[in-house]
Amino acid sequence: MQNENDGMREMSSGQTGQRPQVGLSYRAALGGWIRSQPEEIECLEVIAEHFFEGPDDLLLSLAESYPLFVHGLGLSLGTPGALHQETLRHFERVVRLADPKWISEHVAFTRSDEVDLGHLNPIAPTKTTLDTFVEHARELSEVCRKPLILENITSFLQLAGEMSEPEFLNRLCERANCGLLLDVTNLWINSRNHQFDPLAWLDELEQPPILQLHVVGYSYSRGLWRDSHAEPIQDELYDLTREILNRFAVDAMIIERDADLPPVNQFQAELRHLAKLGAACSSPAPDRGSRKVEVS
Amino acid sequence: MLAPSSNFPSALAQLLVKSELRRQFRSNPQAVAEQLNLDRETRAIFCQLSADQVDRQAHGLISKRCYEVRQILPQTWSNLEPQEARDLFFRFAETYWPEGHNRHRLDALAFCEFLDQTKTPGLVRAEWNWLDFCLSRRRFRLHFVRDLKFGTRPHTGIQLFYRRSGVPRWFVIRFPQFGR
Repeated sequence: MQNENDGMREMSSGQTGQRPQVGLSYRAALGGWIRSQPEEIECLEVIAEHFFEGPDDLLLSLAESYPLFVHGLGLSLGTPGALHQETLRHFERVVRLADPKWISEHVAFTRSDEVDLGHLNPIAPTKTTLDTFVEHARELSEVCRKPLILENITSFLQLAGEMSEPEFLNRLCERANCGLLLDVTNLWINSRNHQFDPLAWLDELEQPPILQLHVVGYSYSRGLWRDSHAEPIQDELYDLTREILNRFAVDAMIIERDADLPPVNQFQAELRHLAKLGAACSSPAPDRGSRKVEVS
Repeated sequence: MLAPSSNFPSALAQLLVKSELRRQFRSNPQAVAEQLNLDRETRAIFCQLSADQVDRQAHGLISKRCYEVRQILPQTWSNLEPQEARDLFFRFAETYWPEGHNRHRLDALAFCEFLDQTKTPGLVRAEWNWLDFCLSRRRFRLHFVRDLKFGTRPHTGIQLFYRRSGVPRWFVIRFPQFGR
């Protein structure tokens, strides 16, 4: 049955061997530069919660200027039970206005029945949790009528479970028919704080139908690596990005800088660096049974 | 009193927001699992949590809240010593967890109320008034204040808040300063 997502293969530039698009996560402080449509910005990610109460005209204007991705923070897909309906309603409205190529959320939970923690926390990689995620991911994708991709998070907590994180992500993408938002920085931070090899982690991962990357500089203080989203991208993160590009077909790369925003020319340099990496590694990954994401 | 938790996210959330529970967990995780009425699968994962890692995660959540509130209340924050501000916020954060997509502004508003109730010097009422108006549904508000920030010195004046097409806007009338 024909639907608006039947063009998934064309949308998925990584699958066709084209260089991944590069872009930024929209921040109001960069609004003037972003709205001038500089050539370095090829796509834009917007945080859904930032537009729950408008301004709609800005969102519509961004949607006219760029391929958009809508990224959620507070749907808490890892919380058992029904999705928070008010948050879902707000999210769906933003998606309807933005008409993004895909939507994204996190492999995490932010709230329980008793408390809204407000930030991302890890889930235990068990079959029970996987069932919860599959159910919520399918619901979210169906409500929004958009392909969904899910992001790995950083956490000081390492949880025991029935499977490894990459295995959990593989099964999630397969059963929920969703893609992956691979946060390069989060992977790197976790590998340092929990002492594992990020390349071995990547070796366990299967090619998802859509693959977007997040990357931003990490910070280090009091003996721990942290996701401050406030630093320029370090060399080791470019190296890890190159490893990912050599292993997988990537569709888009987004710089996710939140704080201590640098001058525009630093963003331009980072975007060009990522574009160059993408061009150098743009051959498609070997077919490992890649799946077409469909939204019914 | 602990809410019985039938699932792992609920149990972990309680651990992350209650420092006293984390102290109990550190000495006896099984007893806390018992109090939370966890099922067997959840209990096994819960009891394997590292107490140090749980503390770091809890501390990280409050640090993130602290950062957001600092962005919303820059004038108040700059009136406090940096460590004093963090200590105050961490003390406040134990007592209140905001909800919803406006959580950061609600957090900042509640922190202002905390500073006011504890009579902590440094709270900028002009900043508090504006935040309160933004979160309210009021269409118009007038305040007389003594701590309008222009340059390095506080000024006396009137804040006028209103809404145009639903968007909050402000206007200030600064009284002239005489003397020094």
